[in-house]
Amino acid sequence: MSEHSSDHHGPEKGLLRWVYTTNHKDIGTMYLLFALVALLVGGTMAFVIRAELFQPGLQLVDPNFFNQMTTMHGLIMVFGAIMPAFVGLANWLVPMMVGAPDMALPRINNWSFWLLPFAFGMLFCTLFMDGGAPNFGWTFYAPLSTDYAPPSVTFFIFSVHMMGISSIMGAVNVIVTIFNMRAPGMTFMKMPLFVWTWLITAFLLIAVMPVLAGVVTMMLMDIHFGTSFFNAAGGGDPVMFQHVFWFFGHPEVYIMILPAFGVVSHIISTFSRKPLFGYTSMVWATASIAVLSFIVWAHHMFTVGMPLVGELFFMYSTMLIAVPTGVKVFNWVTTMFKGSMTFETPMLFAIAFVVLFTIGGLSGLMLAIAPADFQYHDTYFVVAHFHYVLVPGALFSILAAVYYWLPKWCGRMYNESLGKWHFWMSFIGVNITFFPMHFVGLAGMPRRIPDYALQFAEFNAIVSVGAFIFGLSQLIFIYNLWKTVVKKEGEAATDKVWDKPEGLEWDIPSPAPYHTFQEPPVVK
Amino acid sequence: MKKLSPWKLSLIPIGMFGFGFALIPLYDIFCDVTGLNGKNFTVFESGVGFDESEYSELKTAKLQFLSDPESRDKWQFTPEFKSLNLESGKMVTTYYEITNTQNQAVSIQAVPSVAPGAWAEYLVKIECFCFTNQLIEANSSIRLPLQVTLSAKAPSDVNHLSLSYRIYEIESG
Repeated sequence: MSEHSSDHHGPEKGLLRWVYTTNHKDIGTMYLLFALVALLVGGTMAFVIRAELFQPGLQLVDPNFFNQMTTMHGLIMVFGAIMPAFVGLANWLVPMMVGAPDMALPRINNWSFWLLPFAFGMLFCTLFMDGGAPNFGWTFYAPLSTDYAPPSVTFFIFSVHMMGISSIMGAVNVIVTIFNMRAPGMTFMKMPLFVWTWLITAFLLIAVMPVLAGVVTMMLMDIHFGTSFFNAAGGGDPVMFQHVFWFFGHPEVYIMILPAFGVVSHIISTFSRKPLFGYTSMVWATASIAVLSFIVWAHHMFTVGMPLVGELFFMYSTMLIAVPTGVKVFNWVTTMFKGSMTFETPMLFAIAFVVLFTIGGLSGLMLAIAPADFQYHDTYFVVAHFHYVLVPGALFSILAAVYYWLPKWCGRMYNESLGKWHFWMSFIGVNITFFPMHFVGLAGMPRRIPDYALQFAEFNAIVSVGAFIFGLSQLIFIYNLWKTVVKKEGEAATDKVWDKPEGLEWDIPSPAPYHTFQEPPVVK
Repeated sequence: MKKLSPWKLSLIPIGMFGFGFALIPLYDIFCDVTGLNGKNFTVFESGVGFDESEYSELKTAKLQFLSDPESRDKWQFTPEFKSLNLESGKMVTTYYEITNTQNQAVSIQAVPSVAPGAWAEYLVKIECFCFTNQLIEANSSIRLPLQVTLSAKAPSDVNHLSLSYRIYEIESG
């Protein structure tokens, strides 16, 4: 076998390569493809939801199946699409950005990924079980998820355990890589912002994913082993579930957005042809958002009957988060100010991110006003708010990152006009989908319902049309990827790819070789 | 350079898993220490507006038993006694008598009324025929039980209460 005689070897041949691989680039690719599949599955469920809500009345699905769709859509998008996509980006980029040959724990890395298909396979199978899939909302409040849950809830609990283990191992891997494997000369305050934001995200992950594992374990014990953590009849407290869940849940929100801040910082700087404005303040803003995220959880529960001091504390602490977030938005805008900007697809997505994420942040501030929240709570206004931060927020940043680094990964430029079509259709679709949700929410339309009062009919029809535009325009993205990566159409990318981008990943050839930085580069 | 050990780092998630469970008692301790509500027992133990002397004093009041005139005519609905003396903490059991003159069994519901209304909360009904529907066989009389006491919280000026009932026939079918 001649391949074995050489020290320099590429990937193994055959499909088993993907099972055995410990290469950060292979694993990153698998994470990203997994996230893409989850995005399509979760998106199909969103289509079912929006098709049912196109008109008032019950047309297509029965209410129980509708509830299963909303629950599974939320779970798959949060845990299956957004989080794995960011882990995929971290796998590809963190070693290349810090000048390391691979992740610090390559086998753990392989295992982290391969837990996911099994976790989500199990979660998906619940759709075909007796009693159907989980139908209690992605926040699975007890006692809906304990006393009144379908039998499949046990499979849901185990799949959450598995994805939790996967996330924790992935986060440990990222932290150890960043701490131990930076190239000589790369001090913490010289690290690229994507690395910084991921480092902080990874600390959030190892702090709160175990709490999620704990809360589902308590549910498991309540359901099967006769404990009463959340059962009032046995001395427990259902409101306690919400406290423990949101202690995980709020930092989770930042887990899904902090890496996006990093991505957008790189892209805006490159296409404005200016160094990022306020690097140090970006780092500190990210860290303070992460710290604050631990003391704001009960703003999700203003209406459970908290004492007034509680309402006030959580209202003010939540509003405090607007300060570091404002610092970030200011820095991005100032980076663009007087820059010689060009508007390639990644830049378009990044600018849309800044604008639309800010809209989502603003509606978040409105929700943080405790007395006003009693009107907004559990309405479509909340749905509009978190979709604004997660879709044109997190998802747009992931799309921007894929367009920005794809030429480095596969060595070919994507089709720019298809990219622009994808962007504009997505941008228009996203706003038609989620903006009218603010109006119906303020008018009192509750979330998680398969039918609604007639006065909401027009806006819901508009929302559904927007959702289909947005969903179908993602096919342009997939076609573009297929053309670039599989068909290898498009011109060959240069090593720098863009006009003077900053970062070690642009010093290696395009496409990035299977092994990079075997000899650590020296950072001045 | 000192390397970060992944094993040491793993202590954080393990510790946080335990912390998730520790949150359950921690919330109780937090509410207890700060006196924030959330659990009823803290309100009960701190005894909001609770004055023990109120309970040590014996309260008495006269309770008058009445029946609505129409119910009296139609059902011969009459109390066993016109009035009784109530003492706080002492249970009094008494009866009303009712007669069904129809040729078929009927189900009735008694609706109580206490006067003066402001003192109604001090009349504590332990058991009352008005809590449920009552079935009376055709052409028969039955005794309907009632068990009451006077609340120990009653202010000392509560000296007289009257309890009246009106009988409604429940539509069958």
